[in-house]
Parts: sequence; C-alpha cells; structure tokens
Amino acid sequence: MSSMSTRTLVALAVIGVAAGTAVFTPRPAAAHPFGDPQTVVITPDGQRPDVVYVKWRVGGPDDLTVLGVSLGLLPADRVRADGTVDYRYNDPGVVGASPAFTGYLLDRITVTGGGRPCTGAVEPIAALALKGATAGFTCPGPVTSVTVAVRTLTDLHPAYRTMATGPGGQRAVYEGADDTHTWSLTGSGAGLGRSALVQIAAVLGALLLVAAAGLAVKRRVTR
Amino acid sequence: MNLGALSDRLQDLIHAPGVAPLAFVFAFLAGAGHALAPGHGKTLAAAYLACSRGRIRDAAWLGGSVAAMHTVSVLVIGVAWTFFALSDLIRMEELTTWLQIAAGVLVLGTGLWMLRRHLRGGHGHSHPHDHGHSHSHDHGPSGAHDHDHAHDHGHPHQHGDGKRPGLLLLGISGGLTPSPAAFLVLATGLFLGRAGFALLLVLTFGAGMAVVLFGIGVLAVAGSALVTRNARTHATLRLATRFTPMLAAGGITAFGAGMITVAAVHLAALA
Repeated sequence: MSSMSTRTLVALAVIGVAAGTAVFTPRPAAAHPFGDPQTVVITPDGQRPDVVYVKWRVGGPDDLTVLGVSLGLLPADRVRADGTVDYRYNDPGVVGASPAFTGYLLDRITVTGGGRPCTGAVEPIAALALKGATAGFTCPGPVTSVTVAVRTLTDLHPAYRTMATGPGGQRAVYEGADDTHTWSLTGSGAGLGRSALVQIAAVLGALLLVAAAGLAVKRRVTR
Repeated sequence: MNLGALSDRLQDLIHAPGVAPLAFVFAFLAGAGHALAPGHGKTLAAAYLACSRGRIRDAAWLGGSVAAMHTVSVLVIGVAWTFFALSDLIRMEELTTWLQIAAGVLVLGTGLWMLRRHLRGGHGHSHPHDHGHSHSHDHGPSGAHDHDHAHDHGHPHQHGDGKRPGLLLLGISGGLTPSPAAFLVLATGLFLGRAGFALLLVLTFGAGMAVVLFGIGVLAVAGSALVTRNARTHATLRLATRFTPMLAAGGITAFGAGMITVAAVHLAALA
C-alpha cells in the first residue's frame, strides 16, 4: 500500500516538474525557414510599359539576421550552435543600408521580358523588416508578360519558400527546384480566390456530412 | 526526433500528385510529432483529467477540441494571410504571440475556475460518490441526445459537473496557435490552387495531434483511477486525492500565468 502513496507522490512530482519546466523554459522561436514565408509582389508600372516592380519582403525578422550574418554584415555569433538566432531590432537597418544586400537582391531576383534580361535597381530602403525592399526592372522594350526568378534565402536553407502575388490575383510559390514563373502583366489570373472558396466549402461540407452520418449511426446503435 | 523533421517537411506534401494517400500518412505522423513537441498543454490536460476524475470520453473531448481549434485557426489565418493581406496588417510572429496570450488567458481562467470550484463546496461530500458512478450515469441523460454536449451538464451535478467546459477551454487554448508547418501547407495550397487538398492535410495533421493528446489523456485517466481505487482503503491516499485537485488547479493557474508572462515578454521583445 505504501508503494501506492509513493506512486501518488511521484505522479505529483512529475506534474510539478513538467509544469515548472513548461512555465520557466522560454518557448523556442518559430523555427525558420518553417515560420512565416517570405513574400514577393509583382506589379507593372502604370505609366511605363517596359518597367516592372518586384517587392520582396522577409517572413520573420530573424531571417534578415541570418542573411546579414551570411553576407558578413553581422557578427557570426548571432546564429548560435543550436540554430537559434539572436536578432536585434537594428539588424534590418544594418542589412538594408548595405550595398552587399542590394547586390544580393539583384543577384537572386531576376526578370526577363521577351526573352531578354531586364536591368534591375533597388529603390531606397526604409523599414526593411516591415515594408520590404522594392526593385524596379527596366526591360529592353514594352512587355505584357515577364519571367521572374526568385532564389532569395534558398542559398541559406533549401526549405525556404516564397509566396508570390501578381497582377489580377495571380499567385505562385517559388521554391528550391521551382524558382521561375511567368506572369501576365495584363492581369488575367483571377479566380484562384473563388476556386479556393469552392474547395474549402467542399471539404468542410463533406466533413459535416461525415459527422452527421456518424451521429446517425451512433444513435441507431445506442437505441 | 524524426517526427519533428517530418513536420518540417510537411510543406512538400502539397506537391504530391493528385490526392496521394501517402501524403495523409505523413501529415498524420507530422501532427502526432507536433503534439509530442513541447507546448501543447499535455501536462495541463493530464493534470486536469487526473484531478477531475476524468473519463476516457473526456480525454476524447480534449483531443478533439485541440484538433478542431487547430484546424479552424490554421484555416482562418491561412485564408486571411493569403486573400486579405493579413501580413500587411500584422506580422505573423506578433499574431501568434497574441494568440499565445489568449491561450494563456484561457488556461488561467480555467485554473481559477477550478480553484474556485474546489474551494466552494467541491470538497468533502463529493468524494465518497466519486467512484460509485463509473459509467452508469452516461446512459441516463444521453439516450436520445448523446451527441449533444450542450445538454450534458444540465443534469444533476453530483460529480463531474462542469468538467467539459474546462476541458474544452484547455483544448481550445491548445489549438489556438497554429503550427507553422500546418500554416505553410495551407498557404502553399491556397497559392497553388490546391486549397481542398491542403485543408485535408491540415485536418489530418490535426487528427494526428488529437490521437496523441487522447492517448496522454487516457494514461492520465487510468493513472488517476488507479489512485482513486486505492484511496478507498488507504488514509494517506485519501488525503492525497483530496489535495491533488487543489494542487492541479493551482498548477494550471500558475501555468496560465506563466504562458501569459512568457508571451508578453516575447511580444515586448518584438516591438
């Protein structure tokens, strides 16, 4: 019997220790690159038919710190041995002000129009972590569709993804093996939102039907 | 270890051609692995079930509510992020930290409610009845509407009254913050026009979480039943079973306060 009370005490101790560790151990930050995805927005210039803008924005601020370390702009000890990142509020400023970063951006994001490369220039950066960075690409002539390649951050980890949005609700996902996409600048890719709505409604409807059927069966069995 | 890595590779599943059965197996395992990772209120659930003399069915309610809440939260955030420019309004990290604070408030509220319940007449008379009822009462009010949990605690409160609101609150708090992997799967699916498949994967992921949490709940129920059975014949144990609920309620309250503090510190660091 005394073994039983020992068991209770052990159970209580386990609960206490577990609750204690859960409370006092800080949660690990969202493990990047599996956290917020980076985004890219492709917009044509309203006035000049030969210019396309690509706005790049990072997912989590720690991604910028990791990038800054890899570009040699931030001390290497910001990325600890266990993979956690010690990011500071002024890291985005340091990265954004550096020509090494604008060079990286233009190296990793490329635009071709009509089979010929377009020349990119990064616009002045303010609040990189929040607003991102925009590069304007001037093509050799007027373009109605462009092929945009995005390879940012995948050099740091192949699992990074970029969620890209274009004119007229077009959407695409850039990833390691699939890093180029052709965008129509006249904006004819809509319908993705409606398709998503239909698909989600179908899945939820099917789920409700299954639940209702399950309940009906259960009721019949218990009766 | 491998299960965690599986969770990280989850976003690749969305590319599986058609609706691949193997993708669902992986999504399920990834969900199970995610539930085993720290921070899903497993300790809380165990403490709650152990102290409230939970039944297997309560463990199922807990797992189910975590899975349901997690799916809802991934769906709402994923759709808002993709179609309503959520990322322009609030950073994901900030949003999830706020959700952690909300989850902490739910846990804290549950803990305080349990403390209050035990302090105001939950003790004394209730214990002698506790192991008499076993499962018999289940069939009484349930017969016709067994499924309708809203009615379930309307019947005389002799024992586990108000067990489910607490369980549901803990479950909701456990599923409030979406897993980054599940969020990425849905966002990728929405961007690729495979929303339905992505949602099915997220549902399967939730089912994996639910099964693990249910298993842990069952262990807690079994453990507490063992202690309660022995308490009948043993004075020390009887005393222990009397104070365990208080300790568990106190622990849950402290845990909720801790969750809020950790999230608030994190939020301050983000600002």
